Amino acid sequence: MKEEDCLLKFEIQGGEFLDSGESSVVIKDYLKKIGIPHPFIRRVLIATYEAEMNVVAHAERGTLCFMIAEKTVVIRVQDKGPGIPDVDLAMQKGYSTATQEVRQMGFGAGMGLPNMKQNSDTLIINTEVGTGTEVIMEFTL
Amino acid sequence: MTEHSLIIDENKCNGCTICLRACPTQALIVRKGKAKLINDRCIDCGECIRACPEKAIKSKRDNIEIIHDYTYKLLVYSPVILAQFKDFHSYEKVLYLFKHMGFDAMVGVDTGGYIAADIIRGFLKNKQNDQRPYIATNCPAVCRLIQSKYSGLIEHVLPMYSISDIAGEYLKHSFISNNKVNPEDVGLFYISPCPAKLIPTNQEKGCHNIFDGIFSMGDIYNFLMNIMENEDIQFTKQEMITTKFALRWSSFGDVEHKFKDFTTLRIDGIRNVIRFLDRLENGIIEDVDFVDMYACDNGCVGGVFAKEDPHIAEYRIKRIADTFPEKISKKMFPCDVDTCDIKMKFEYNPKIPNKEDMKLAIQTIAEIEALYEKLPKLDCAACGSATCYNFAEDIVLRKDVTIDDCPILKTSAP
Repeated sequence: MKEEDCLLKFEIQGGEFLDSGESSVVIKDYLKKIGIPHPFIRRVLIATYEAEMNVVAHAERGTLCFMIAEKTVVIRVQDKGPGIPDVDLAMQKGYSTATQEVRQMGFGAGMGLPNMKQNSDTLIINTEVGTGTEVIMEFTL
Repeated sequence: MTEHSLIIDENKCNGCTICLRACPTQALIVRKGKAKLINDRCIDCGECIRACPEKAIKSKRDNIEIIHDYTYKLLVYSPVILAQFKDFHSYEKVLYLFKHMGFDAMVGVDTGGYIAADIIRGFLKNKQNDQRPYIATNCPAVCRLIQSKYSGLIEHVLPMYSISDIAGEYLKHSFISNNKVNPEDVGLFYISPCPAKLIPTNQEKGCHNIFDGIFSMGDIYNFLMNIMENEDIQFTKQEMITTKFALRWSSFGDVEHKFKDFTTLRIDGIRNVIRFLDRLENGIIEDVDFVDMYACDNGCVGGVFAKEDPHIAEYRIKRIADTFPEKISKKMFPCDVDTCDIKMKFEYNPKIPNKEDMKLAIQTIAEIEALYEKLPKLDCAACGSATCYNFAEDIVLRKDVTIDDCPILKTSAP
């Protein structure tokens, strides 16, 4: 998986809730254009949105890369942020480190990583506390 | 091929491109100085008819004379027509004039609204129906928009006929059984406020075409004005059975009233509809049960064939509606016809592209985007394509233009 293989690339700004979710929409439109059926697009859309929102909610900034090869769609999100101290705990439904304020805005329900896992075929998380996180999701057509 | 109601008069078209920019689905192009319709993009909303300064775009419609081909003539009228006359308080006169024209029985689209409301309520109460929000099928332009552009939203379309079809089925069914007549002798007609309703919604499936003839409300308006001006008519009192809610819903989409225990929205105006559908497909609309959408501003009172200003028409319908009760006895409209069931299914057949198709599609998109980057991105439409992106698509896919056809690049070239 090389940098130049990115068909679409996005910059994500941490804390920017208002303009967030754009990359998942552009990717959805792209998949629609190349004739991918909607149930598959929906999986990519949900998982990508969650991955993007995780960067917005937790990290300083990040990049999202969309690749497509043979029968696989790959989404890679890399961020500069706090990292995830306990990945297994973060994968549990309902677990969230989000503050009460963020929760009141309708975010931080603790479904981000579980939704990403449920909607992708493989989910790889590489994380280092204090440095950042890399999430790679694969979707098989 | 999909049938459309729009006809472009090449003698009148001066190639000005105003229609291109008015069209919400980029379904028009100008080539060799004349506008042309791209059939698989057009949703018959009629925005181009409104926009054309030369009045070069018209809509196909049936001639009123065809009613005489049938022994019994039945009419479904859009209640919007009642609001087209200054003396709207005597709306019963309009009903009398329909009789005078030769119709044996008639109902308004409001009748369909009355019948449909309880069925939709029952459907929404069923917790298993979880493709929320459900989208009403009342506006055919909205239905066609979803079918052609929003593959992801097909499951949200309420699997049910529009309220004008339900009114038609109810009228025909009850007339035949009450009068014991041969169905073949019965003609069912509809007065439509817009071009979208002039043609069947779900053409591939062959359903929805229950009417034997559909007339433009504008033509009927002319016809009635001529009768009133030139004939001495002795009006007799006509009875109209309806409810406040049914009249309001079927004219300007006031749907919330009867669906207060659900989160229900009325969305009007094609650009608002598109924004909402985009957001819905993007997955950011939550907690909405039912949406009734109309391509025209203010719903059907804003129809292309309406003479009266939509706000005035809406005001008049409200005042007419005030004279009707909130509820009527269910026995008035016993509904035992097929269409009063939740049965219509919208179809969309997604095909999984094979590897080669996908590769080709990716290449094509890359080619289009590379071309687009070279264009001025003014979306001036002077080239005859609606936007610069459409122009790039037309170079690659339609192949009927080349990059040299961009007038801006031509003038700025060294």
